[in-house]
Amino acid sequence: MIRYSFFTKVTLVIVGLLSVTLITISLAAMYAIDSNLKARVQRELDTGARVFLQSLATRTSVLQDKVEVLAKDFAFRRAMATGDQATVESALANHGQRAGAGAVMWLDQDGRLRASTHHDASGSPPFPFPVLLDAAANQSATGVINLSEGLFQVVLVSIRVPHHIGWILMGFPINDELAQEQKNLTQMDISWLYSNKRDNLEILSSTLSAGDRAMLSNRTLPQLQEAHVEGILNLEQRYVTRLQELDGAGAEGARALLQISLDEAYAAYRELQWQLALIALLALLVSGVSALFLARSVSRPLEKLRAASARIASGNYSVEVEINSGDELQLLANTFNSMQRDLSDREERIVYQSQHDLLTGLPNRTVMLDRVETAIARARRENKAAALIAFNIRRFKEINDTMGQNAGDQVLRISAERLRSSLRATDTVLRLGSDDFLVVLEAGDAESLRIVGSNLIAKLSQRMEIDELQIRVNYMGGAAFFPEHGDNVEDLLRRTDIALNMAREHHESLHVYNNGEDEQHLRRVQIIADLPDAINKAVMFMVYQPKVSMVDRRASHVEALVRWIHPEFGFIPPDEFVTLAEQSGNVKILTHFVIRTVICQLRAWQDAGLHANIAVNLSALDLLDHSLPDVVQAYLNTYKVHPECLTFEITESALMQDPELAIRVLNMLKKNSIRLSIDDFGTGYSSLSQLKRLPVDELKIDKSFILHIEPNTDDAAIVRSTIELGHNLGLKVIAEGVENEEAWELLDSFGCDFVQGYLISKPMKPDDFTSWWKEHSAQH
Amino acid sequence: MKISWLHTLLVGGWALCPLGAAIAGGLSVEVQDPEGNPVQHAVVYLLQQDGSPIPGAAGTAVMSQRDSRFVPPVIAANRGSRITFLNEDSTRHHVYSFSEAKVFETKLYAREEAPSIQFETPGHVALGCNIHDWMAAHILVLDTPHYALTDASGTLQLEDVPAGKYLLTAWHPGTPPRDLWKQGVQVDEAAGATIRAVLPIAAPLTQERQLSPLELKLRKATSGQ
Repeated sequence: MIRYSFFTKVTLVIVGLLSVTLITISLAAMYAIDSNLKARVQRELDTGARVFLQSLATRTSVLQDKVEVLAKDFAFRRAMATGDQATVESALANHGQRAGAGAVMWLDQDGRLRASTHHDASGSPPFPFPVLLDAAANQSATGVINLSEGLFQVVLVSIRVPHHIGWILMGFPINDELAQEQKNLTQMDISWLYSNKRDNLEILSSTLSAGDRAMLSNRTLPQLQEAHVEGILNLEQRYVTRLQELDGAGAEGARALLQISLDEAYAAYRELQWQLALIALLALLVSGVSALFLARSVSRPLEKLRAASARIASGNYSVEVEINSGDELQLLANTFNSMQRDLSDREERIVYQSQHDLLTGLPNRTVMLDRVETAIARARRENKAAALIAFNIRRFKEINDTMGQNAGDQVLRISAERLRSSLRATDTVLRLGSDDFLVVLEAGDAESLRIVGSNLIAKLSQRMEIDELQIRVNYMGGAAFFPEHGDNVEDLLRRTDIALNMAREHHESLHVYNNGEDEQHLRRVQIIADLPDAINKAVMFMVYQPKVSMVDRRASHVEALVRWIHPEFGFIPPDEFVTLAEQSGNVKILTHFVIRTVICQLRAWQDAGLHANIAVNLSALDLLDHSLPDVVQAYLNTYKVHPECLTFEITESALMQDPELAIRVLNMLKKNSIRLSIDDFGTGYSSLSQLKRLPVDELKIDKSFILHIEPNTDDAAIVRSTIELGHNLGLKVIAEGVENEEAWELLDSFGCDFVQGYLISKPMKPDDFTSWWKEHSAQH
Repeated sequence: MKISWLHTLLVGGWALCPLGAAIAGGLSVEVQDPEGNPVQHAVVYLLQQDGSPIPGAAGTAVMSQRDSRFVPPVIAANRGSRITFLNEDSTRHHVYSFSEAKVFETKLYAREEAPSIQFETPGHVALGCNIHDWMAAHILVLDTPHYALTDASGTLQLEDVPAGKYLLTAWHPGTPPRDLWKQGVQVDEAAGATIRAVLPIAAPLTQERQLSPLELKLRKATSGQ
């Protein structure tokens, strides 16, 4: 992911930059040294050339002085003036030798040789270097001449007595000795060259090495002149070179080649170059190490910060980053730490808010599992008992509706406060939802838990003042104990819930879970789950129980009853699964199934010549469904069955939930010519005035009055009165649960219209009923 | 300086005049160089027509050394004449000659010594001073009494020359001997026209001394005191 670490980058950049700098500096230095050196050597050469010329001039001057001494000598002049040849020659040789001359000559005033170390002077031949004579013009002159044995620097001095009577000449050899002497003086290599013809160079003397000298001898004059212009001549070594022309008569062919070896000059700098290289290397090393330290001083804190970031990302805020570098990084680390603390605080706050209910300040549902698990684990560890108690306010909705949301909130706050204040520190109270509280308790045993639970209910149920009103709120509680009712959180929570439901259903203030309740619960859950399939796949079926008219004993009416044989639980009482269907919202499809099946049966029976009115039980919820009349009518139309063949039986209690809507639905059914009957009459609380408003055709006296009816009992009185009441309201009256002849007789005496019960027949499947009906019809 | 030279020359000239026999006329000669410039210090003399000598009495002359110069720079003298070297300077002089006509040298001498030398052999005697290289003078020793030296205007008069035919020669120390001007002349009582002689001057006369800076300084300091 990281291609090059900061560490590597910094090191590379610093070392790289330094390298570039050093290389640049070194190159610049080398270049400067090189050009400097050339310039310096060139200057040295120029200076050397001046010194060379000066030394040459000085030498000439010294030589001239030496010759002048002789020329001034009175005796010598006399000898010359008087033509004393022998004396002159001897004096010349003597003085010449002393002065270091290599050649001496005597010229008469016409420029003819009278004596010479290099010529046959007999016959006074003309002096072979007229240029020199011209230059002298009867005076003195200096110059360079090329004699058989080499170049000579010559001085020609006029002899005067006092008029000019001739010259004496002394020549001083230009040889290796002179070159060496001049080299010692000027620090240059000096080569004396002579060329008669332009390209033919003769090296007369030189301080160069034999090799250089040999190479030089192969060069031509133009090449040397070119080298003079260029400044450089390459022999075995490289030389800064100057081709020096000479002053003086006769010097045309003679030149001095002045040279300074560039290579030798460089040699002095070689050590400097090594030192430079060494310094560069050291600087690189030092900077490299420094860069490493610098990079580490940044990259280590960075790594710490990175690790800290990773820790924070994983939610660990506890470790502080410690950097004591005293620079921006430390500042960053401090900022980082404070950010970490802020984050931690904020997260704590958020977690707190997410785990707590804002209204009551109690922990909420999100931490329920955690708290319960903790409590259970501790109880298990300490071998103690624990309890989960769920509290619920009875009819909390009514408080909200009548006193306002605000009052409801106050109730909740006060409840929460009461719960909290009643608990020990180790206990927990949570608010799970609107008016649902859960308390997690620990105690030594189940009995003390029961007591604590009861106390809690008692405390909660105390009066409280809401908006200056003293009200008493009713609580119900459901409890499950560990380990008695379960040893895992899931079971305990479910069973607490079951217990609370039990409390609700049974109007208990505190219901402690009983073993087995969970299984009932599970059975109900299973039944609810299986209901839709059982209806849709026609697992359920209808049985029919005849109602017999007391007048003609004919079975003109039948009650349809739904039956369900569950594959697991076997026969399930209709009360149970109908209630569950109501609770689970399945009652509508059940009702539709029953109505359709019954209407279909009516059609079949009518086709078979069996004419009977079939009664169907409607649930309380059916009466709240105003689409029901249309649905019924649709089925009737489909099967072409007359609505008068259908009776709906409605229990008194079913009417109680929303009497207005129920009456409206009943009116619609009635309008469609469907018979209506009040079921289980006598068990409910319906008032007579209400009864008067109901559009019913029939009363069905509950079987509890009939089963054990005997003459002169309360039951008999009630039944007789009810029959009379019904008749007086214009209603037919039917009694169910008739199981013996005595009851029959008694009911008959009371004027009851229809009876139903085992005395006549059990409920039967359609085919059985058909057979029974045929037989019964045959008898009556 | 120049004026005093001229004066000396004239006096010298006239001083020689009485030596000639006063019989006939004279000659007027003007000496010029090839460019037409007058030549001073030229010696013009007469010999017999065939160049043989004319006998005459020997005389005397003075060659002064003044300001380290020979004055006059040229003297002509009849054979056997005696010339006195008069040192007018405070320094000593050492006059010498290596010329064939007269080789001599005077030892260092001061003002009061004034050596006198007799010149018996005709010819050119070049004089120098062994101490002062720049000093140069010339003595022309002649075999005739008829001679004269040109003045600054390059002219001279030969007086009291007996009528007759002569070889007229013009000489100058700066003229190479082969270039000497010679001409035959007829002298009679009637004064003739001026004769013009042309002499190439190879080496002009000079006694210009080159004072070295050191010498100048020395002299200045001395005179200052």
